[in-house]
Amino acid sequence: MKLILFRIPGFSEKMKKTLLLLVALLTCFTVNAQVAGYMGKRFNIGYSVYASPTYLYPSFNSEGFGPGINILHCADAEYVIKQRTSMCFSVQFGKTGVHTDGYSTGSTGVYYRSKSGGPMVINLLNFGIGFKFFGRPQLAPLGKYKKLDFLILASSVSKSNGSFYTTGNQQKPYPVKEGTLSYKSFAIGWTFGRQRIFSNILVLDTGFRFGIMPGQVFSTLTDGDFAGDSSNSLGGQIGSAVKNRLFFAQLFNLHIGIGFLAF
Amino acid sequence: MTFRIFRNFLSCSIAVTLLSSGLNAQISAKNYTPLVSSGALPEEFLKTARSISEEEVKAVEYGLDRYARQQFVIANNYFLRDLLLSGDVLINDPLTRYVNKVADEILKNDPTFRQQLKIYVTKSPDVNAYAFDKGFIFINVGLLAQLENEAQLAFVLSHEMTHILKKHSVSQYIENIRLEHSTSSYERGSEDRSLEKYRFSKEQEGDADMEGLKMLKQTNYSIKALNGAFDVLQYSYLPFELIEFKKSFFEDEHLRLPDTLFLKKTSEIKSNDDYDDSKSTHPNIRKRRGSIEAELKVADESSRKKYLVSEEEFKSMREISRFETCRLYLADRDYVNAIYASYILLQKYPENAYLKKMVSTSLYNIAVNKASGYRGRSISTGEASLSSSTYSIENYQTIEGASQRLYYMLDNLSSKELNVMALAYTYKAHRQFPEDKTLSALTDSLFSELVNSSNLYLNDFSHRTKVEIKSADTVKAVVDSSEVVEESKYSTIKRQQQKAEVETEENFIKYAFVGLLKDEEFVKRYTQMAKGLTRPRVNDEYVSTPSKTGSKKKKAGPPYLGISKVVFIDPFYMRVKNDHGNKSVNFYESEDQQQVLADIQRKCAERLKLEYVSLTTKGLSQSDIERYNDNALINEWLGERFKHGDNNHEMMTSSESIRQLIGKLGTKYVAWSGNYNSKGKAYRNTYFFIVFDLESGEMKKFETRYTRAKDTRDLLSSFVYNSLMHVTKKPE
Repeated sequence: MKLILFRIPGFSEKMKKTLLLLVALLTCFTVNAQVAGYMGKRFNIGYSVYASPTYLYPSFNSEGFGPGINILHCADAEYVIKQRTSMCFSVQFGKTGVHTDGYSTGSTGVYYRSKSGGPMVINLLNFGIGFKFFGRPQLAPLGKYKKLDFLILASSVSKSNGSFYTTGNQQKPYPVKEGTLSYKSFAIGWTFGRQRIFSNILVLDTGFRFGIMPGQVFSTLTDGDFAGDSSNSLGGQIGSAVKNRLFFAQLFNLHIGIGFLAF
Repeated sequence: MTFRIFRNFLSCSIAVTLLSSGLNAQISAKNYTPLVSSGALPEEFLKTARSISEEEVKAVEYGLDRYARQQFVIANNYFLRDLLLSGDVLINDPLTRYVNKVADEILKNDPTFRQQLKIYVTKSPDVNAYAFDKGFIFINVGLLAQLENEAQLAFVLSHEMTHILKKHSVSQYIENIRLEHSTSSYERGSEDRSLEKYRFSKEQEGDADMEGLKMLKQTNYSIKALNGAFDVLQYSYLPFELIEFKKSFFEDEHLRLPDTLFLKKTSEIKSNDDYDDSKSTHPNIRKRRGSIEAELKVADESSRKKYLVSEEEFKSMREISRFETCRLYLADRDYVNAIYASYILLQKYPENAYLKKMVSTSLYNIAVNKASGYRGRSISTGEASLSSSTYSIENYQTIEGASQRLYYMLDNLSSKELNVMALAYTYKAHRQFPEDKTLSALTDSLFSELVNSSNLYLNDFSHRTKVEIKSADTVKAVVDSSEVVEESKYSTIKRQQQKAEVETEENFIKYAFVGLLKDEEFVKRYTQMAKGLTRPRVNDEYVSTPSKTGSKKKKAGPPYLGISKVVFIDPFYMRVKNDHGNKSVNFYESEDQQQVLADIQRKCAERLKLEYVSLTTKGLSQSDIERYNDNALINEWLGERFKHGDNNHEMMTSSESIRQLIGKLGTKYVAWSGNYNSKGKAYRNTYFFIVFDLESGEMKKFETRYTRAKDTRDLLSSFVYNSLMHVTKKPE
């Protein structure tokens, strides 16, 4: 079955099949679970917004340093698998920015200048799977919960000729091959949230999330190299900048969402 | 003229006959019909507390304490509403009718005030009466059972009427609030505050005694008789009569109880009327007597009478109260008093099936508790937790008077001995009234207890009397044509052991069934039970099913019950505001939320295809007396069941009536739920849901959920849906 949803550059067929298999197994596992849900409804689909404060790095439409908010839009699906546990799937998309200078290729310093004057824009498309654990004596999907989620962060930066320039007295355009730089990372998040239900159908979900990218932490601890700062290639340096940016974007998020109890 | 006299005479005779037949319809030599409400529901039962409160709150006069008075009005109305609809209040019954006649007599000259009064009798064995400022007076059945004459009843009524006239309830309430908020350093201490509250209350009681007496002096009631009213109060902790309890009550030709089980002398009744009343709302009896002593002397005492309505009616009313008190003791788990009260009445009505049932049920319930090993713990009733309700016989040393013997005997009987004695008594009663299903069920239950708990079988009982055994001095020599059997060492030993056994009183139960073992039915039923048949032949579901191994271990039941139809009674709801330790109930919100909870239950039941039968007291009309009685019966059953705690083997007082109700409602399951929410620094919410099997008394489901959250609709919906899902879903 061809899924348009998964037509993403760099998202391999193998990965798609693995994910499908995982979902199928989990569904089979949960079919016979003795679940109540809310008034018998177990499945909830919704939309939420994740907001993370930014200061060290700009948001996608601001320039330079300064306070700002990064927004991620998220489509969620939640399924109650046990009395106090829900399984969640989410797709997040959004944009943020990364710093424009500080790059170099060998002895040449390079900086980025966009046509609109803003930062280098990172397009984000994240896929997440998580579990919400509701505290006793509450029953999923209502009440306070703690959520553990695993995110695959698929980010991309668009290159275009004329955007990069050399630093120094003579600021000449730096030629780069056109195309898109794609990066993949992995994050784990822990959310404290609360869900309310109105008119037995609308779900209001609020909370705050703490996330971490284990890869970044690991490479820093082992090599002292945070996100591959020491790469020689421009692509590598942009990649490290992107991962740095994403790392801080994952650290803290507030979210609010609204859902619909389908069945 | 002659015709007129004859007509008057005939009318009076008819009236007297009707009256006495109405009063004595309850009692016959053979049986007693428990009191139930009848006729049309009075208006006060139909109006909601909210509608009354909203009117009355507006009418509260302006003043410094207006808010407090308004809160009092609201609290009063809701408390009154709960009492009226609890089912404890009797309507149009013989007792209430008579009490109202006495009130009519007292207030003959004040019809305006009389019209404001609503006087009811409540089903409680406590010796008490109380009044609400709104004009309601409630007199307990227990008090009516103890009175000596109509004049004493009149004094009780006039005392309560004074409370109403002087608005003592609201004054006490305002005073309590004043003391709570007082800034005086003396009054701020909690101990001093409490004492001050008691002092104020005692002042009011003294005032009610004095003014009540003045009210009575305006009637033709005997004033001298009122001294006896204080005796009633002083000795209210004793049974309504004191007669010697004879051990022959439980004995027969073969069952002889040892003398060691009987106290030779019972303790004297202490006449302590000058007890410490500093922490009491009422002055002690000596003070009360003393304060009105001077007023008791009246010049026209000789022309005054103890009875103005009817002596016959009074005695009949008191008799009914005493019969009713027996079952109220039983429902209250006061089994020893239930037996003693029944014993008193059996002296007058020796062949009364109802009284024998009271004794049998009490004996059975004590026996199951003894067998379960609940002995030795203090009585605790009315506790929130079901599992904490334990039963034991009160220490006989704390009992005064003739009934002490009974306490001593029952406490010193072992579990087996009590079981045997109970069975002997109950079986004989059953044989006397074979059509009575309760006695039959009790018989089977006692057989079951004998086999499963006491491990006693037919061959544990002797077929011969002690006398027969004693007289068989030597083993008879069997002589035939060729052989002569002589007495051997072993036969001598056996004979000596038998002799020792018959001479001791300790093993008296062995000979208890000598007569009964000649009864075919007795043997048959005992044999059947001993063979391990778990369902007795008599088709009676309220016999507990004994396990074959006799184990009383609780099995963890399945999470799903597979029940398709449940009766729901009005849920409990309370929303409380906790303001620095001062709790105040928000009655209006509580009532609204109660309706919300009931609606949620109905919707969830519909969704789950669970048949929902509502036994609500909301929206009653004048003709809904049947619904009122049904609700009263369920409430009584639940109240008694909660007292039993984890022990669902005890027989319920209202088993027969409940059986009929089950047939009428089409289900044996009743659900009671509720929610308590308190708002202080944080919200705290406690939800509970309980399902009982009315036939067996088994608690099918007991669920509680405590959250630190507001009682929002979605929270309640999720809890209710989950509860009902577990009720309706079939076990795997």
